[in-house]
Amino acid sequence: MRQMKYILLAMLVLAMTVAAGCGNQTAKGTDNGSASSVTAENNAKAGSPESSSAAKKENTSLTVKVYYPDDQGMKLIAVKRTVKTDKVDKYTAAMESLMEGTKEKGQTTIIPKQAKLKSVKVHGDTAYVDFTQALVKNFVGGSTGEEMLVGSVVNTLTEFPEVKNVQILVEGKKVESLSGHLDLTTPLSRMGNLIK
Amino acid sequence: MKHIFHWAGLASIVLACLLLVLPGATEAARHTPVHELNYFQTSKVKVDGRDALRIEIGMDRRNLEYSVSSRTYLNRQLIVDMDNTTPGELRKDISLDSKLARSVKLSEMENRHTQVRVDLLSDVDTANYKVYTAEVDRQARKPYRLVIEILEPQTAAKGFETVSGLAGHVIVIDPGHGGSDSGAVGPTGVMEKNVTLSVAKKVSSILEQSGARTIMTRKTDIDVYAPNDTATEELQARCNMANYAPGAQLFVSIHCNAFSNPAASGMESYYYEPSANGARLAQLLNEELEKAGGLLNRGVKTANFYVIKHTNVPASLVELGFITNDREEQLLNSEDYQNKLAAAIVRAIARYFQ
Repeated sequence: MRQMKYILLAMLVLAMTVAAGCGNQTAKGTDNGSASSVTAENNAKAGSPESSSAAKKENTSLTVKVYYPDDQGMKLIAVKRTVKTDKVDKYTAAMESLMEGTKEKGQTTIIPKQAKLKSVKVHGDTAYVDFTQALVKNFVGGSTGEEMLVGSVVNTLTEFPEVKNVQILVEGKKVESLSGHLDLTTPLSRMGNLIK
Repeated sequence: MKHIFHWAGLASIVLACLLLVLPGATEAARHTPVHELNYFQTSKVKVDGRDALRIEIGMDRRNLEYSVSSRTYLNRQLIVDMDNTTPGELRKDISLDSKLARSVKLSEMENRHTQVRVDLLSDVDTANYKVYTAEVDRQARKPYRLVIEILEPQTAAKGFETVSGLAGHVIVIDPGHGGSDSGAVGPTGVMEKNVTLSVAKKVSSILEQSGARTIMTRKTDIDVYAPNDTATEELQARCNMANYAPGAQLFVSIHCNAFSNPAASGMESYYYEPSANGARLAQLLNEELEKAGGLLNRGVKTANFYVIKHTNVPASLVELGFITNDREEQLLNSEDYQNKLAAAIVRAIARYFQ
């Protein structure tokens, strides 16, 4: 009996150390998530031949997917954009590209033009995206407007495999709701049901 | 003294006369001829400009005495009791092909007393039926007859509308936004908070007239928690009214939609994903709003909306239409259209409890 106890204890200790080791590794990985070296790695992993070859040539441009609602506000349409990452990290580059808006037929810009991006930071598997007050002040509102705006931000950022959740901030503070419909008090996971 | 004797004498003479006449009167009643039914016809007609179903029940003699009553709760029946009448050879259960009534039943309740029961498909309301007798019409070959007309119900605009099956239920109605939060604003300045309050008041009034109790999260143009409160404070205050109200059974939040593209249009209903009862409520609201409002149906959807997520009772949020769409802004602002949508919401709630 006593022997069994020791064996069990030894197994437990082993399991814990292994688990802790794994934890450290993943934490490190995401901490470095915004570094350009990791960007290229992620790019290669994503398996898009066009972008990975581009990344090999020069480490500063990247193909990302941003999302715009259709004219009826029914679904989000994925749009491929090539962004430069020499001055900003890939998350910021993707968000800035999204916030440029769209002029394509059948697509509508939902983020107010007056709104500016303050920062995007990734901690763990959550991206914290901070906007200026104009995001709320100049927002058209509506359930559809809110779903499409939040959905376009969340889905654009969760295109990066390491980002699982997105928390929207306004002037550095958690926003509880943009126009009184969505519950934004906790980070949101990918809103796949909105994608065409 | 003389006078008193005089009056007493007169009174006794009158009494004696009455006693002589009365037995004759009861004798006459016993021999009243019995009406025998012998004719039945239905037709679609217009009465006072409204679609109507006319039911004609003919008989062999005139001067029918009848009374009209109704059963409003559970089965919606119009009842005509006919004295001194036998059903004759007429069928006792006649089904009707009409959107106003399902069937007519005849039964001899007791000897020489026949009852006609019409099963209606809408509510029994004195404004929605007429009962009268008509004389013999030789040209149309119609005998003396009892005529029952079932009229198409009028819309809620008249303020008399009631919906059956709601008595005793407790429903929380949440007019979206309010006070410092105008909600979305249309191209001509129509504010969502005013449309939602107006529709919610109409919903509440039909519910109350139908015997239900309503709890409005707001009855005027106010913030439910406090002016310029945070979204969580405001939205949680609305949820609390459902979560702490004794007996509250349902939560219906009324909103108008908005989008950055004015082309976006239509109506939809939302529920919070795991709630099966919420899904059923949203489905019924969607069906009734589509029928009544005629806008593009964007469907029954799930969403992470605060008020449907944080309420403990089955909940749905309805988007009546797009206030950012020119045409729908005008519709949402019209009294008539609001009445239609309010009646539709009440019908959906009634169906939920069926």
